[in-house]
Formats: sequence, structure tokens, C-alpha cells
Amino acid sequence: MTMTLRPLAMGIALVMGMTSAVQADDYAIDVKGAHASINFTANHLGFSFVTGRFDDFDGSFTFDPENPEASSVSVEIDTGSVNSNHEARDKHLRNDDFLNVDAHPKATFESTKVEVTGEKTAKITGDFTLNGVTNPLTLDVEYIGGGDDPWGNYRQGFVGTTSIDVSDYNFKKDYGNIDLTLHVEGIRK
Amino acid sequence: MSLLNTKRTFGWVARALHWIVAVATIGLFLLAIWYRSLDYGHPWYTAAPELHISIGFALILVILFRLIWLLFNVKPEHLGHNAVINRMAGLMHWALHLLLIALVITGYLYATADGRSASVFGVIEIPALPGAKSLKGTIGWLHEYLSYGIIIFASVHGFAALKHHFVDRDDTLRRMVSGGRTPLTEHDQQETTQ
Repeated sequence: MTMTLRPLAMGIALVMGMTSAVQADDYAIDVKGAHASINFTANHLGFSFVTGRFDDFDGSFTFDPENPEASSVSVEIDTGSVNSNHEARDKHLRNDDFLNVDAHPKATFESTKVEVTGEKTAKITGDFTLNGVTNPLTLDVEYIGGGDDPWGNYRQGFVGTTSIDVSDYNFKKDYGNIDLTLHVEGIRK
Repeated sequence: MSLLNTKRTFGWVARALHWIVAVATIGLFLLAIWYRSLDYGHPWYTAAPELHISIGFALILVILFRLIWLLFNVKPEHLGHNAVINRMAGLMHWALHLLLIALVITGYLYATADGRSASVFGVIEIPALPGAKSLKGTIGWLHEYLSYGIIIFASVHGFAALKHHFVDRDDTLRRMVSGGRTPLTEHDQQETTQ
């Protein structure tokens, strides 16, 4: 919701007689300052793990500490920005054995439900689209902290984890589940 | 057997260099096609790309020597009689040289795009250039498509040589294989009597 629409929405809420006057705030994920990252971990031969990240993504969320179940999150990832610190491997990950970047350059997550599970934890379920395939996906999210930063902005930060079975997303090569960890810090709009 | 080129034919050094580069280039292309199809657990999955990189670096030396050799040798005259086609053949030769140079440069940059050195036969480590990482995301693509380009151009070049051999029945291919059997032409005879 944009700034200009918010007073209108609040007005509608008041007219409808909603008791809560507190509105969920809109946050932009701080990708510009790189206080957010989307990381993946893949098992290597059962011996160890390869980690990597998606360098380019963007997104936003709404968050109301008084009513966290009304929160929502939306993220869009440039799959071509996959970076495992080995260009030959990344080139392979971009081709149609894995991410199929030419055909599907974007992966998206749109939350559909937030279920509070503890004082600082929640499960966020949403539609995750990867390689053109959309499946429901649930992230385990922990609230880390929030408040005024020293430079005049208001921030909230979370960590989310989940695991995906790449065969659900039609990857031609499947070397086991991929664990995802998202560090997300948002600046209030 | 002549070491140096003449206006009529290639010396054995130029012939050897031509075929070494031809076999290495086509071999490297086929090697890459093959190893890209391998399963992750295949014994050659890591060794084949390393071999490709090692041969590629060795090829840089051959190409450098060949360019130097080119400078100090005459280029045998075209045997075709159509000036336009001769000109196109000459342009094709330069295109192949430029594609080869572009391929080994992009190959080096791709092999070192992580900012880490590339190993040549496990013996020599070729360092990455500063800023090599900035080419991530495009350099491998460029190397790949240049390789398709050179295979297409080399095929045209090869078919042209076969056309000279089987259709025109001249010595163009033979002089690159064995040095040729062309008897002295009138032109050459005039030259030698001058």
C-alpha cells in the first residue's frame, strides 16, 4: 500500500467500525544497504555443505507488532544472480539442469498466511514460484529486533529458514534438498 | 622439405602449426561438449574441465608462436581465380585468427573468474588478473558462444578446402597437408628467371 492510499484505507477502516486503529506498517527490504541476504546450502556428497546466495532480489513486507498474523511479505529474486563463489558452477546452476534462468529469470514468494508460534517466532506460508513452478512453502521465521536506527529510519529484522525439494520445481538434476536462510531487514516506508 | 613458406606453398612449420591448432581447437570443443554431459559422479567430471583448461593454456603458446611465425613468412598465393572469393578466403583466415585469440583470452578469464589461479597440468599456476571477478556472469557465456562461432567458421573454411580439392582439383588442401605437388606455374617460372 502506498503512502497516499494509507489515510484513505484508515478512513475506510474507521467507517467500517474496526476497533484496532493500529495499522500494519509497510517496510521495504533493505537491499540497497545490503542488510538482507538470501542464502542457500546444499549437501556435498554427504561430506560437507556448499553455500551460496542470490545477490539480486527485492521485496517488501507489512508488519504490525500488535497483530503479527496480519503481516505479509513479498520477495522477488533474480535467479541469474546465483553466486556460489565458483563461476563455472554458477554457470551450470543458471542453465536448464537447475535454475533455467533464460526461461524463468525470476523466483517469487508471496505470503498467504502468518501463524504465530511463539513470542518471537512464526510460520509464514506462501506461494513460492521457482523455475516457473508454484508450490506452497512455509518458512520458520524468527523476529530478531526492530526500532529506530541512528540515521533517522525505523527498521525491523527477521531470519527465515526453509527447505525445498528441487524435484518439486522440475530441476533436471537433483542432488538433494536445498536449505534456504533469509536474513531480512526492512526500512519503514 | 622447406622450413619456410614460399609464394607457392607452406613450409612444414606453418603446416604443423595449422594442424596442431586445428586438432586442439576441435578437440577442446568436443571435450567440452562431452564433459558437460557427464553425471556428477563420473570419474572425469572434474578432470576433464581441468584438462580442457590445461590444453587451452598450452594452446596460447602455440598461437603466439604461430602469429610470430606468420609475421616472418610470406603467405602463399591463392590458387583460386576469382578475386572476390580469394579476398573472402583471406578475410576468413583473419577471422579464424581473431576468434582463436578471443577464445583463449575469454578461456583464461573464465578459468580465473573466481579470482583464483588456474592450474596447468597441475604444474603451473596461472594467476587471475585483478578485477577478474567483475566478468562473472558473462565471460563463460562469451567463451561458449565464441566456440560455436569458430566451429561454424572453421567448417566453412574446411568445406572450402575440400571444394578446392575435389571440385577445382587444385593444390590448396594438398599444400597444407604435404606441401603440395604443384609444378612451377608460368608466373613462378617468370619469377625465377627474373
